[in-house]
Amino acid sequence: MTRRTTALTFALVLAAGGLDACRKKPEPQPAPAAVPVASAGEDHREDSGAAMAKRRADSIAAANTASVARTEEESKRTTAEMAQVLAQKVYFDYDRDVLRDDARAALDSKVPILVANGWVSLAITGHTDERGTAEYNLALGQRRAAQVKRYLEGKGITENRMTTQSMGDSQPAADGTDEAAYQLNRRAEFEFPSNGGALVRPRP
Amino acid sequence: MSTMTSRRALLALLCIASPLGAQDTTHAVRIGLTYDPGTKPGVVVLPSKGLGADSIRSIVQRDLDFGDRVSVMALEAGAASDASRANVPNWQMLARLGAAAAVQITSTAAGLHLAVYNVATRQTALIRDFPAPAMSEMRAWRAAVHGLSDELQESITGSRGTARTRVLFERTRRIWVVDSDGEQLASLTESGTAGSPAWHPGGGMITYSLLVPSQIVVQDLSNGRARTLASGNGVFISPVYLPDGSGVVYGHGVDDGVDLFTIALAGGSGRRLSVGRGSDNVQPTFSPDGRRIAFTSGRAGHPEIYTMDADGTNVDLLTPLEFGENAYRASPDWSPDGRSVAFQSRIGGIFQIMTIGLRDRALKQLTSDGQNEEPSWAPDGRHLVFVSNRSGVKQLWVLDVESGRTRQLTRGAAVRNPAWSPRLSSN
Amino acid sequence: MTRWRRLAPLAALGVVGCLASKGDVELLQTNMQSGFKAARDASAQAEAAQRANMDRVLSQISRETDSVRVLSVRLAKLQSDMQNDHYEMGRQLLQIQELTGQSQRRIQELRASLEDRAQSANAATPPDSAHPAPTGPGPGQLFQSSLDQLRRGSTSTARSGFEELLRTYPTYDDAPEAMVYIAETYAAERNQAAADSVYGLVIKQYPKSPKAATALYKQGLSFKAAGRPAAARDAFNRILREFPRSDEAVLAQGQLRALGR
Repeated sequence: MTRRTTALTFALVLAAGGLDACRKKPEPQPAPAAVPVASAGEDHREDSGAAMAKRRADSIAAANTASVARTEEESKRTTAEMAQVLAQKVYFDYDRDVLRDDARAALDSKVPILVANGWVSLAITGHTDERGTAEYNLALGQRRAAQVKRYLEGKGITENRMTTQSMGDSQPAADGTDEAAYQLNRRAEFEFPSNGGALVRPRP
Repeated sequence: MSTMTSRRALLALLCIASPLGAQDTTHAVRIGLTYDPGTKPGVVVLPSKGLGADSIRSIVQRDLDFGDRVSVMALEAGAASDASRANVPNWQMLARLGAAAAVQITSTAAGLHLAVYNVATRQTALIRDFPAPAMSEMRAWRAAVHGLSDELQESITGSRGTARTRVLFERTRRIWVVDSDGEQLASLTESGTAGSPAWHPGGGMITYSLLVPSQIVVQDLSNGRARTLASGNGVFISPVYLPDGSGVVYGHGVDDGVDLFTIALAGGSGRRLSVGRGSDNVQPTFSPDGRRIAFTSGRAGHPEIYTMDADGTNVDLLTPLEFGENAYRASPDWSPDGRSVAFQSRIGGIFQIMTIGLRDRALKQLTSDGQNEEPSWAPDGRHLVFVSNRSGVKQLWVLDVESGRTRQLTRGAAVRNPAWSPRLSSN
Repeated sequence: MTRWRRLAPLAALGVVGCLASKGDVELLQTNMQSGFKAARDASAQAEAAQRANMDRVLSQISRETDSVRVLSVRLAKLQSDMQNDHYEMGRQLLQIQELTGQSQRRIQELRASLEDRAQSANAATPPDSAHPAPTGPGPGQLFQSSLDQLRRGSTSTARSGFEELLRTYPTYDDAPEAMVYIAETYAAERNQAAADSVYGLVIKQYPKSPKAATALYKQGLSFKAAGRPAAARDAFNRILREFPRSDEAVLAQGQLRALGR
């Protein structure tokens, strides 16, 4: 009696195991030997590394039509989030176009998004506070925009994805004649044609 | 200081005669008025009859007053009526007032009739007729009256007035124009991103910049027609006409600073004039002989005024640079007599108008009330229009450099970048 | 018997199998269920182990990648920082050059004023035979005052001053510049032929001076205005060859572009 049930159980276990093995078989194994050095290789590895999670997500999505809407929602949220980072302003010292550490950090956070969304182009506009002459401020604003562009170029964003212009002191972000307002006005702003296109989150 | 005095001594050695030396020391060249040198001759504008007589009289009185070269004398009420009754001036009364000249202007069918009387000799010194349009054509009519004022001032003082001039400026990123007496305010551009206007030497055209899309525009004032002269990426700013009016010099830059370029009105592409190597070079202004350009450059790390040959060579710093100084000197405008450049300089954190002599580099501070910026010379080389916040909002003010007298030219919303016209003949 | 006994359980199984009571079925079901459960557990365990293993490998790779990424980001930052610093350094160098140029000019002016002082001192005391030219103005004075004259439009006065400077002090440091200004006085008088010949003299007499580049450029402009584009091109190209780092070289490039190479 016991023996019989054991045998049966065993057969079933075998069957289950087989099934399980079958299900697991296509799991591709990443080749750890090929540790990437350049970012291109990195991206490639990211794909395979994240395959499992993605496949899981995919199967869930396929099983549940309601989650398609959820994915769209998620994509919208991601796009908004990424857009916010891209649009984050960069601030400057008085009569200077040199990028401060906070400005570099803000630009650094844009880089992976720009890398992950190769179709996005960036319009950089330099602004100044109201002090000084209109013309010199227009030139200064242009220099600020150019400095930002130069920095991003140094981070590998291709030159033709970026345009620069200056509004000088003609479009203050803050009213007032104190340093707090002036600081808010000495800035570079970023615009990018969204075309309704979705922005993807860069792989961590 | 000793450099200056000794240089002056040396000049006496080298200099035989200066063609520019002769100032208006010869008073009343035309009509032989007599008055003490160094004082302003008293002038009475007599009341007269005819269409718009009172307007004409008040316009001319104000023009003469704004000219700062004569002292306009008011008549007592009784004397006025007495004078208006008579066909000849009341000499005793005029002598009692201490007037050197009396003026009567009457409106005629053809225009304006001007008579100037020499009070000392009791003679008619000058009779002239001026064509003028109908009063309904307000702008042109006022221009004709201003033209009369300028001629009048010249006849009395030997120095032509600048009443018949206009001032371009920028307000809410539009270009505006106003007569020298603050009247006839008009907008010349659609609302947009226009700035830094400048006059054609003939006075019939203007040039200015647009921020979006960035370009240099030239506009014909007679028909309002505007066209793009230069455009592209980056900034296109601070255009000025060449002294012969054949082209425009402007600032342009994309990613490597802003340099001065020159372009012909006929077209073609801009050719570089300054070699800023990544610095900003803007606000060109020509010497009256057209051979030199003064401009603002940041090549030393902060804005200073430089001069160079009109072809871009022989660059020289004009303003005195101090090492490690955190100065800001900008907005140069070459004086009509060629002898000095007016500019704005930051003094104690606030901008003031200064002049610097081309020859001796002597500095003169002209303002101290509030913040004062962006000077532009009147064609008489004696008056400057500039932006000041002394009354609160930035407005245009006119300064008589000789006497220090100021008057407010504009009111209302904030303004900037004034450009005083040359003397205007028509339009 | 033994055989039967051996077969007995089978027979019993068969009997039980054939004649299985309800209780037996229930028992079997329970057994089977526990069997399934065991199988599932074993499978889950195996799967968990495999997954854990894989996650370990993955996280290992991810750690390695992270460090590589951190390194490459750091490298990129370093590169771009260096690029920026490079740019900044270039600009500061330019400013230093500018300031040096200005101090040179200052020295020039200072020299003139020193000569002024020396002259007034000489006037007060009897002339010292050791000083070569105690009577006339010094070279710095002559240069400054002549330039002042040029700037105020007194071209002939300026010219005679510069000419006196070159005559009296032919080895003066700023002799090439003085000569360019002599040419300028002619140009200001619209005597282009005279100006051109003096520019030619600057190029010939001071071929290494930076002012030769200025003279070449002015000559090129004159050729261009006179409708001699080939001669103009030669002058501009010579600037590019002999004074490639000069301001005039940048201007000449613009001219050559306009002329069409």
